[in-house]
Amino acid sequence: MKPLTFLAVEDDDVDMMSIRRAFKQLKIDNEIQRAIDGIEAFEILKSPKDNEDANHPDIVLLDLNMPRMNGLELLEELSTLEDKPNYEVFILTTSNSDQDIIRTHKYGVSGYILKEDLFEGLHEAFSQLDNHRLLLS
Amino acid sequence: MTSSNALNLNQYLDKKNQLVSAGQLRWFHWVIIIASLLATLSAWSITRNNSQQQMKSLYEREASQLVARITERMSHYEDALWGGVATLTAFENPLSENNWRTYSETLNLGEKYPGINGMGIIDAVQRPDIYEYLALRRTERHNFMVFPEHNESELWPIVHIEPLESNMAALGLDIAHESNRLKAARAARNTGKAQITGPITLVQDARKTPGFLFYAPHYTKGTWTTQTERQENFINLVYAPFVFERLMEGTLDMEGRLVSIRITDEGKTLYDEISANGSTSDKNPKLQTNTTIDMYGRQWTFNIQTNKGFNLATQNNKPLLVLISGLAIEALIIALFTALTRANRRAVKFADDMASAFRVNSNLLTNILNNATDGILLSDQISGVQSYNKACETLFGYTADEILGEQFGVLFPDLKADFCRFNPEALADETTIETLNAYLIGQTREVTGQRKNGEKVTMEISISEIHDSDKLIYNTIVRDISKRKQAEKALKRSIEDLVQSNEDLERFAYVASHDLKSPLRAIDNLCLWLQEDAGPQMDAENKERLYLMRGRIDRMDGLLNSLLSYSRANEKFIETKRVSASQLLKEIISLQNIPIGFDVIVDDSLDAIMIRRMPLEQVFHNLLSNAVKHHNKTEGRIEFSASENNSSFQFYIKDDGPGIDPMFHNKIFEMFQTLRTRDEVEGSGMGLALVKKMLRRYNGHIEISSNTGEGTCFTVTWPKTSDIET
Repeated sequence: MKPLTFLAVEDDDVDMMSIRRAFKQLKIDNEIQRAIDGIEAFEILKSPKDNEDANHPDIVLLDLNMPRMNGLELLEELSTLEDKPNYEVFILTTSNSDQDIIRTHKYGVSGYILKEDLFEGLHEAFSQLDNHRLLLS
Repeated sequence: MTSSNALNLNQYLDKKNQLVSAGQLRWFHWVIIIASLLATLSAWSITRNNSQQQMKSLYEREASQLVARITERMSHYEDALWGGVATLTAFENPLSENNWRTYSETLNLGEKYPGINGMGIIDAVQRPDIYEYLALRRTERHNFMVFPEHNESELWPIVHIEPLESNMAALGLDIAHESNRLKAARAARNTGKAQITGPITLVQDARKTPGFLFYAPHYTKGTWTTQTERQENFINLVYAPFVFERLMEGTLDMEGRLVSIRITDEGKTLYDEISANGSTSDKNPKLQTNTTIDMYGRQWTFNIQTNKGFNLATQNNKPLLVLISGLAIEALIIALFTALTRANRRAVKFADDMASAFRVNSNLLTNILNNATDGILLSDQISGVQSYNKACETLFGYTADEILGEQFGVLFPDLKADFCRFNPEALADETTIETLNAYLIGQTREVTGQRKNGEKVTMEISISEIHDSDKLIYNTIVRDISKRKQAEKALKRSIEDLVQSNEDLERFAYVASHDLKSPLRAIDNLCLWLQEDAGPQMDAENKERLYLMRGRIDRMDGLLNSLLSYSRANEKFIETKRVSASQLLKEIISLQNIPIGFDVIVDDSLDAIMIRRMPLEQVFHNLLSNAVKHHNKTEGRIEFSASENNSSFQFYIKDDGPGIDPMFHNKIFEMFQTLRTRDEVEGSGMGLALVKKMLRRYNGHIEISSNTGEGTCFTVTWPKTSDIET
């Protein structure tokens, strides 16, 4: 079975380092692709499902505050796609502000992960995933 | 203010003058008074004349009656004398005494001829024949004497006289001794007529009152026409003596006579009723007459005048009564006119007083109207604007004169449009008067007024209806609210600006803290990783540095969180569910890490108080956290309790910590203020500022009661109405 691929959409380098470190601590060494903003992420995510060449991530970790196109805008753009590839989106958020939750909820995100508590958040998020998609350590 | 209503003072003055002049005594009043006075006077005069006429008639009647009676009586006596003469002619001459007596007795002098003293015969004897005569006479009466002596050539003795007893003194009396007697005797002889003497006193009258003799001559048979014939054929006289008093007594009614009489003969009083004392004669007789009558050769002057009896009889009050009643009526008429004029004057005065009072009232109302700052208009649908005060002039620019009588719509030409502005479904063309009236009358509405110069001004009008007898009058209060509207607009803009700037600030704070948090987190992570990865190899000093770094990072994070919270403190909390205060507190307590040794007491008084979570949750959290954090001992006691009044709850948070000096009681509520250094006590210094801001949002507030070494008590006042707000 093909291992899960991750796409982290994160503009901040240190936050990115933080994600990789958390993965390491969770003993997940699946590949993490990175997009530095919504536009890059869109390019990656927009290719249609049946295109074998495209690199479709299975799980997207989406930061909300990014330049050029932020998280919400990306979600909006993605929702307009006709053929949506099958991926799950987890929002990376610095606050548990209700506003953000509400606004992103309508795009069908799978969960919210606090950046302050990345380890715990990721752990919880991944444990919710289907068992058969569980990664190999 | 001018108005064209019913009370016009000029009209009143005219009416008043009419009334006043109507109430005065005018020419026709005087005419009536004078006419009635004249009527009275003429009635009186007529009556008086009548009276006087009657009186005069009466008097004349009486007087003439009197005279008639006397003359009649005299003629009666004359007849008696002629009867005597006839007797003498029948008998032989000379007549004997007996014959004469028989005659006189048969005649019944006393009864038939009252007043006559007697009746007798007087002979005429020439002096030379006297002795012969005496001798002849003495044959019948032997002591017959003729006396007194005189020098006349003739002797005229009374030869017979009956009744003899009373007249004895006259027998033989020679009447020639006295001129009156003689003269009349001779006249009788010469004229052949009965004659009387002038006033004499009879010898037989002891009282010597006036009297006279009445003669009738006796001739030989035949008709003698000349004096000479008469003298030649003269025989003797029949005579009667009269005492006037007796004559009058016998002739006149002594009682009940209305006139008094005085009879004089050539000035000599024969009979006088007038001068007599105690008589009925009137000193001032009403009427009197003097008549002189030929009485048998003498001139008797009859002096007749009314006596007291006449006065009594003619006492006639009629004229006086007529006069008095006439004058009384006169007086009544004058009194009536006077009363009428007085009543009129009083009525006019009353009206004056009323008008005066009314004027005072009217002035007061005028003053009120003119001093009002709001415009006050009276108008009706037919005659337009009736009343227009000073404030209106300022508001609209028109003077009162210019606008009175004009229609209401001149001042408010856009009422339909104004109505439609507030009732968007309505169309100006379809708006009826009824709809408009219902909209305006009895309400306060914002409308567009138009000034004289055409300028449109936003005004607020309140129209009320006044029912004045049968008319419908509208009272409009007008306010120029353009300034108010401007102020409202400015205020609205200010509020909008404020809201905007608040939002901006909050947004700024939010964004700032967010964007500040991001690199801070990065620093923290890098620091952490350094600690984790390179930490074990570091020396103590470097370890310490890293440690401090992380501490400062935490602090900064804390500050940023606090700032974030503070900036969001104005957000509305939409949660509607309520919990009991005690439950809320218990949750807060459990969430906080209360060190062992600290007792946190939640009083029962909090059980019944139901509140929403936010913002009090944050408030209690901060206060509890402070109480623990700033306690100076390892053991402490913190108490929560509450009370309430009509308008609010009071929550008390009491600790037995170090207390706060009163000089810091204000400072502690400021942003970023700590009383201890942050190295001593970690804290952003925002906790109380945040609490204060949140409470203020809901009209609550926080107070501190504390002193150094005496613990601290915070009182949070939470208005009850805040819980009802959403």
